[in-house]
Amino acid sequence: MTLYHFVGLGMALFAIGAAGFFIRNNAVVLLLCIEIMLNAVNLIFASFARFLYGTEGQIFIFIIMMIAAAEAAVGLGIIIALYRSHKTLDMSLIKDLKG
Amino acid sequence: MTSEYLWLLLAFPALGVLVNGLVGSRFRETTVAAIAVSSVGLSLAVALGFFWKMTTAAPVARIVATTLYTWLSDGALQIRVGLLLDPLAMVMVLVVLGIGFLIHIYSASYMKGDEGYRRFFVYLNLFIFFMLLLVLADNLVLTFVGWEGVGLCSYLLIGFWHQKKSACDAGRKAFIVNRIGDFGFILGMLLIIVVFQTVDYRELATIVKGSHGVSPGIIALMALLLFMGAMGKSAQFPLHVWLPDAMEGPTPVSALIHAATMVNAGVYLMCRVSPLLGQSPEVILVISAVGLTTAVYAALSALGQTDIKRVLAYSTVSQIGFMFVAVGSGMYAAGIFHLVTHGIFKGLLFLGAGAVIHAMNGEQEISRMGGLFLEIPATAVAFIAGLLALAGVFPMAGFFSKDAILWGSFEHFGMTFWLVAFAGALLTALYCGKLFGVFFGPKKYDGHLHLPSRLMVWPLAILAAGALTAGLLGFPMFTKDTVFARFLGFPATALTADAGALHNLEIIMTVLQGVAILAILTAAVYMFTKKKDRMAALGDAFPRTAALLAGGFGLDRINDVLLVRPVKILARFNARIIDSRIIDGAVNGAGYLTMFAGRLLAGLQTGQLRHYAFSVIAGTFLVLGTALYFAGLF
Amino acid sequence: METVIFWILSAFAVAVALAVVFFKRAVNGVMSLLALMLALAGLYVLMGAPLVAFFQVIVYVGAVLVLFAFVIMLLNLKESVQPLISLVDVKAVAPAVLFAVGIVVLTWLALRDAAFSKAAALQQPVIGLRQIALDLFTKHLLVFELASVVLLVAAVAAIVISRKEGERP
Repeated sequence: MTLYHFVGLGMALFAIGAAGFFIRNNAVVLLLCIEIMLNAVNLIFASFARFLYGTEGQIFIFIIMMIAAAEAAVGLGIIIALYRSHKTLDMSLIKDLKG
Repeated sequence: MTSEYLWLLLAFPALGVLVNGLVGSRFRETTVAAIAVSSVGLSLAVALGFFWKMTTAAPVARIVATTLYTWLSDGALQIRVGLLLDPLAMVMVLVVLGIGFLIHIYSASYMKGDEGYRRFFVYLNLFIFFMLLLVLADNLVLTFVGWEGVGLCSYLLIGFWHQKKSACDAGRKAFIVNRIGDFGFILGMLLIIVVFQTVDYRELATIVKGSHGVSPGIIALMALLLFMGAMGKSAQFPLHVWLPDAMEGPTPVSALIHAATMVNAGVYLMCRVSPLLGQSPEVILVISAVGLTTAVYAALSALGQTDIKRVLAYSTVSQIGFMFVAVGSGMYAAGIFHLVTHGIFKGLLFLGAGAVIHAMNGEQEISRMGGLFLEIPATAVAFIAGLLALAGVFPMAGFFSKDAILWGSFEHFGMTFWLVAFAGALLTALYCGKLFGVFFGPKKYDGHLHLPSRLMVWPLAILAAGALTAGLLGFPMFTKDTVFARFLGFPATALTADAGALHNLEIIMTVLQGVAILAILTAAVYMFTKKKDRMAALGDAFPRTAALLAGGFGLDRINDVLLVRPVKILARFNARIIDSRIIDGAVNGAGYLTMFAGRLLAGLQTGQLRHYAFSVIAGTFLVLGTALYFAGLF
Repeated sequence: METVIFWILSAFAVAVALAVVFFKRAVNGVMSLLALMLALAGLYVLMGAPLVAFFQVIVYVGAVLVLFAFVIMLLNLKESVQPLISLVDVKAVAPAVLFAVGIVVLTWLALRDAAFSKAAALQQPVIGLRQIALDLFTKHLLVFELASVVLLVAAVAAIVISRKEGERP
């Protein structure tokens, strides 16, 4: 196995997550897609850490995990609030971002 | 010497400004005044200490200099915040602080009860600070900082009673006219920087005295441009128009700024750049000619004034003209000597006038004053001492300094020039006589008089003593080698060879002048006190002449027609055509364009999360792709 | 042996990732993501980062995904959501495909840099737990502490956002 294997896999996962973000309407699934992308990035960090022989890559992953946890907490809080106010999670129906 | 204490001179007034300016609103009037007066007093004490050191030091060691900070540095050009205290600066510092101190004391009483009491003292201290900066600066740029600073304070103090429209207008006028002069100052400074790569006075002197290979025309241009600045600040014809109007300010301000200190800054500047003047005889001629014109013209105008302060204002313009005559004659020591004596007696006269105005509840018209001698005797005696000094009567200070100037002009430019200057001196005596009418002759005012307080009388007494004794500095008479000149250490230019020699002609002329002035003064006093009504009738008999004199020969009218109206017409044209059509059109056009573009782009804002994410990722791709492209990866 | 495990795990990860995207019901998506996390944990072990694998399981599987599951239960969605955009809608699907391809291409281009090919060949010994711990709590202590502050703020924010109007927490 080389760096390319791991980076290739991370890349593929990221692409899936990104594509999913575009073709799904459910807000919860959108958050899941974001999680996929975050994990893909984590994987790439880890593989670079492995192949460049440094601790920084792994430490970075820890920090990203913490941020991901925070993001999930806030994101889910937003989803709950959204559901309360709009009675739906269909993002194609929610157009409040229009100024 | 102890140059490390030099900054103290500046520090005390600055401290006064800060204390009174920042926390003064909580203080009572007396506290504010105490702080302001003591800040100047402490500074004066330091200055006296330096003066003592300087008089005991050898003439070559009479320079105290220090560099506080390098402001700008660009290769050869170094602009420093440096202080230079040489005898010339010392004299100026003593004038500024000495007279400034007395005027501060006087103001503490004069301004009592004014709602702007604190503001007044903050401005006054600020003025002292900037004036000292101007005087102590060791280079042109720093001098210019002080120069503009005193200009600002002058503006603020002229317009001190800003509820009065005339005061605001006068302040603006002073500011704008000074801009014209400053324009010359800046150009001259830039030219010096370009040519000599330095602004330091001492370096400049060394360069100019050596073989610098710069054409005399350029040097003359520098001197001329700097003189233009001096003309603005020192109110020389035709840039003097602001000074009579500046009398709208409180009287102590007129005394301090518009008589004793700031308006003399131009003379001081010319002395500072004397090496440049020494190399350009044409400019010297210009300076003398302007000085002489101003001296005579302003003396004539003073004669026509009916407002006591405006008489004194025109008189100031005239006396500064005499100083410039001295500078133009290469007699810097005489010019500075007259600056000192004039500072003392004109400060005295203004303060005295202030006391009179104060006593008469703000009345400034001479025609409504008279017979005040017995009412306010102390003020009257001091005022008359000032008048005698201004006229140049024998034992008074003005006699010595004016005599030195008249003789210098004769020696340097010849008979005709002297005659005109002498006429100016006689006119001085004439308008001095007119002011005697304030104290003698029939009583014109029967209201209640406000007697001046002791705080106001004491400064008058001290200044009167100064006006009486300052002439001693001009001893020994009939030589260029007076006590004052020796202290100043100015090279008496070409006159060194016979500096100590007596001139029979000079003695004869001095006596002649003295007698003539005394005669004219006596006659004038008689006419303006005993025959006051006939003098008034004279004005009515020749109304046009009187109006001409009173209006300063209509220079304001000329300015109005030649400058103000065209500018106004241009402004109206700009407002009506250029502004409303072209500029507004452009502005509105920009607005329409923005709205149009906005409506176009608003389509991008769908509210759909997906579309925003699209933009984010597309942007990322763009940046990443660009980075990779420039990294040479595809 | 390792290579075989890698390929198996990779194939599994890609499969479950696709499942997250294409499952209609959100609950199934969460379960698929859980499987993805586990697969990734396996990959971390494979590349000699057991600590990361450990955290992956604890933080993601143990905390984040459970939170997702809770929320889905809490909302009790009645499947009113149009789950997928219509896959024949070119206007919507094109950017997705474009981006997926773009990511692959761009990363591939970046990886052609010579520095990576050199690094790819390196086989370093595995970094010990001790070293990571030392670095985390000395060199990167500030970042670590700041991250904890962020977590705290996020927790408070989540509570504030999700409470009912006028409800006092």
